Amino acid sequence: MRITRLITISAASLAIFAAPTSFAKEFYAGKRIEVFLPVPAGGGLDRNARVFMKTFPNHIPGNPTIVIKNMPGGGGQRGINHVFAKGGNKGLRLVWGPMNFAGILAGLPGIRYKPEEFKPVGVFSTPFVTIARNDLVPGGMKSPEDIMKVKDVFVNGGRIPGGSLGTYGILSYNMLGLKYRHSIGYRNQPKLKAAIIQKEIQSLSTGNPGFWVFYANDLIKKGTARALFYHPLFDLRANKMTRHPDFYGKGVLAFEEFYAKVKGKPMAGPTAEVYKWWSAYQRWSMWVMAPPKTPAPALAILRAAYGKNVVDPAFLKRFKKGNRRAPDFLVGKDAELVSKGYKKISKTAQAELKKILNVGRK
Amino acid sequence: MLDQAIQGLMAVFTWPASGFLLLGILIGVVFGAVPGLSGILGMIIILPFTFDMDTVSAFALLIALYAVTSTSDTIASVMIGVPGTAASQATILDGYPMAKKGEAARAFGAAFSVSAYGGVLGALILALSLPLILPIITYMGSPEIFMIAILGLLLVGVLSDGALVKGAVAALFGLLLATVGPADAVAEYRFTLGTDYLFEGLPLVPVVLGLFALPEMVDLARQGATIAQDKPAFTGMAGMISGIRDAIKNWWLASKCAAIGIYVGIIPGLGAAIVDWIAYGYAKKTIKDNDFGNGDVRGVIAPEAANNATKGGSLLPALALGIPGSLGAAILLGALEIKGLKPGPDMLKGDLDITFTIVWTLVIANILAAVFLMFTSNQIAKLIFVPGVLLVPAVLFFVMTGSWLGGNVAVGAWAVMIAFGLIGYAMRQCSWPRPPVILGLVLGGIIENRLTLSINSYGGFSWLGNPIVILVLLGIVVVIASSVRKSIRSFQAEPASATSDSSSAAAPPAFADPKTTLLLSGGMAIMFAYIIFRAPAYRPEAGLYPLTLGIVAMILCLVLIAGQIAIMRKGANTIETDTSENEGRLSAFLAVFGGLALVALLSPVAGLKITLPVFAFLFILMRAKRGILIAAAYGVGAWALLVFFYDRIIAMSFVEPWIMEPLEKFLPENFPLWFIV
Repeated sequence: MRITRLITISAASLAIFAAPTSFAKEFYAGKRIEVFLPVPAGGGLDRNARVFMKTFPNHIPGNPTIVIKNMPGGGGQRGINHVFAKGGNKGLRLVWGPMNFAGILAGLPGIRYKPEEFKPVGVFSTPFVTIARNDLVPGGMKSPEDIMKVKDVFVNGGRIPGGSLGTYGILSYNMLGLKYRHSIGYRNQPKLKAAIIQKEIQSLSTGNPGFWVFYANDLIKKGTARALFYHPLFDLRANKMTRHPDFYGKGVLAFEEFYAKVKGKPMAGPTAEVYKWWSAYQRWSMWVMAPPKTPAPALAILRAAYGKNVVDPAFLKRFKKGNRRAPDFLVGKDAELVSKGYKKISKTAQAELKKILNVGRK
Repeated sequence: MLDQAIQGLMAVFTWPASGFLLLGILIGVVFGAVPGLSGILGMIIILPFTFDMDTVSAFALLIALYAVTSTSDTIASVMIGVPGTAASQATILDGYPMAKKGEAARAFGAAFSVSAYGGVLGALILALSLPLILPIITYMGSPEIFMIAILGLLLVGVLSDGALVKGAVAALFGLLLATVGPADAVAEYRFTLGTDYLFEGLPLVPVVLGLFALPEMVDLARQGATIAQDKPAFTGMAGMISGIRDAIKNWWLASKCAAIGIYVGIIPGLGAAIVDWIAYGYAKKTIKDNDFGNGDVRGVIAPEAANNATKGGSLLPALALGIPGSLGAAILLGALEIKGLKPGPDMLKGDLDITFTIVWTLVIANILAAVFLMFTSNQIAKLIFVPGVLLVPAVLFFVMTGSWLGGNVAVGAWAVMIAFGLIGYAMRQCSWPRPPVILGLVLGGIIENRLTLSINSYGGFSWLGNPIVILVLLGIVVVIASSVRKSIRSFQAEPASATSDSSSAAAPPAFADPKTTLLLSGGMAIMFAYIIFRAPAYRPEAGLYPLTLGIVAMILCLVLIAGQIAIMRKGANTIETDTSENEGRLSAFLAVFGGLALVALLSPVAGLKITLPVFAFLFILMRAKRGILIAAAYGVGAWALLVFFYDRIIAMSFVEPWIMEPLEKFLPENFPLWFIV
């Protein structure tokens, strides 16, 4: 995590330096920037976007107005497609949301954008967590490792086909060799929470804000469920997973550590490769992308502002209320490492990815 | 607990919280009254401003706004037969006929009274039930919600009156419309016609506006037409008081419907869009000697009591368990989190005073909004006596912007709205019931989603043995059996049963030409054939459900067609129509649909800020035959609303028209282009 921070801070400084100041002062004065969110209002992604965009214009010379527009559809694809195709060339439209790198590699229908052609302003993310009901084991699980004692088939809930959270559940349980059934279609975290209360499902994965809003203070505090392991980012530069020890509760490990502990060996094989790829690319979930024809000077201004805003105490104060920690982030060129490098995956792993995402006509 | 309740009440009355509460009511009233805006949009716009407010003020503003939109949404439903928000769809069925009878003020009096009553009852139940919510949530899983939705679908029988086969086909049409978009279990997009616009499915607002609002506009656009066709004994404040008396007289009905609203709100995933239908259907089914569909005030009381009560209901699981029962509750949940509060058990312990602040805000906002609207809407009610041609451009303005907001992209939304306007018009002319289409569309998503989840999560059909599932199943059997018995009795008593549109919002048409009826049935059959042809191309998880529905719909449709051909052969149903009336109707039809089509086609070229005001100007000048000054006032008014409200305040997405580029070259660099395009 520290390495990522260092990279991003240096990149932010570079971006600030690169912004042409005389142009910057006038370009956005009196203008309005539209930020499209490819999700409905009310969720964690929407909330984080609104918190970020509250202070973002303070760092853009000319202090433009920021207008947020929700354009949900197709698991986020509709809004992203829209900005990619109709974002224009004036630097006045952005999209905030997850790039579906996995969907592109697996041939998911409906994706009409090319991430590598977007101009990344910046991206941030926070870890994901997999939780399970304690009563999966007779007498209750005493530690996350007790999940390995589950002999019967249990149900892992997912939101949408190909969704990042559900896929983490599939990847983890596949590697651990547990017997489970993946039930997709819960669409959002509140429905997943209701389902785990009702014992309709016994396990799910959630994003960091979802963990703190829905589970930490309720089901986990009451002992109904527990965090099994978390899914951190894979740092491409350091070629290793980041770590957040005990952040999700004492003894809750990163999945890679958890796997090594219960299996006595490091993760390996095509599924493990998919897992690492997912953690290196797909996991960056909150992109601020400018459309391909955005003028370079405008992009430089936006990148500089992003770099300042993501460390702005006013932003961090609000962000930490919902997330309990600052985000991991990349700015400008560093973010391009991910948006342009996502095709670095072996054929075997790509086939495995396609199988996991269950894509393709009969 | 009493201490916290008093603390919560006192907090609402402190400054600036009380000021924000009033502001929230005002914004909520406007966002509820204008079709397409909705409380959700209001909350989304307001949310960032609450980040820096103190907690009590922030919630006073948000909750007040959230609470009162279902009070003011009655105005459009009653006055023009256009639902102000999704929660007031069923209100049009009797509210609009009341306006036609000149009883708009009475409808308002009744609706606002029961809205306040339902809202307060919802808030009180919220306070009392907070500790009891867990058992309800625990036993309401996917199988139970699926069965309840199926039970809700049986309302088709109630909403179709005698035209049961037509009602069933209409409901199946609605269920099939709900399959447009992404499948739940696999990555497939169904029936999207290659457009991203349908990736999230068919948006409800343009469909409802098309089906219900546009056909009424054709009627209003005829020369000499007004909304009110009668002049009642009581109008104005006397009418309003008469409505309040109706509400008091029917307090038990209002209480039962409020209870329906609360419990539908509690169950996550059912939502406000169906609560008014359920309450309306329940009232119609249980009240004997009713005149529902023709301006029965109880048809207004039932949905209006329910839709306000549902707000309190949906907040219950949000506060107690952190599970929002609606989109509005989800946004409030986000606001709680940003304020550092923890939805869940803490809201019942450490933050109980905040919880009570929310409850009191709901109570106060509901009462104040009702009182405010009773005094102000009195003047609005007088519009029913104004010539319709003067109202049409204004209504079309809100309908077009409303559908745009509901679908997010203008051209797609207008295409959907105009298409459903034509379908709605044809259905009305052919006496096909339209409410079952909406019921199918709203329930269809829930039914397919919950069926898929039940099968996948339980690994088959073992859930059919769940106690609540069995109970609801028995309820379904009882409802079907009683309906069949009633139908047999009514058939024996009156063999030639009527086939009227139950929604007199779509009042029985002057004629139901058998050829047009056949054409509509044929059109439906072609659509079902397309689904039957297309569905097998999808994977079974995505294609089987629409395929099954399509086959059933096709069979019923063919039965209808055969019946219609038989009637035509017998030479029955020969319609004697007044030629001049038909000409007037045709000219109004062309003015409304032709005008809309022109605006839709010209907007990508000239921009909405030019085309829509020009349309309003020309309509008043040429169709309403008013002077140039009045027409210009209309045009300027439309332009000002578009620029200063829809663009600058609520930031609606405007398509960049073709003329943008030439204008940029032609106009000075600092000219604010947003004035024109």
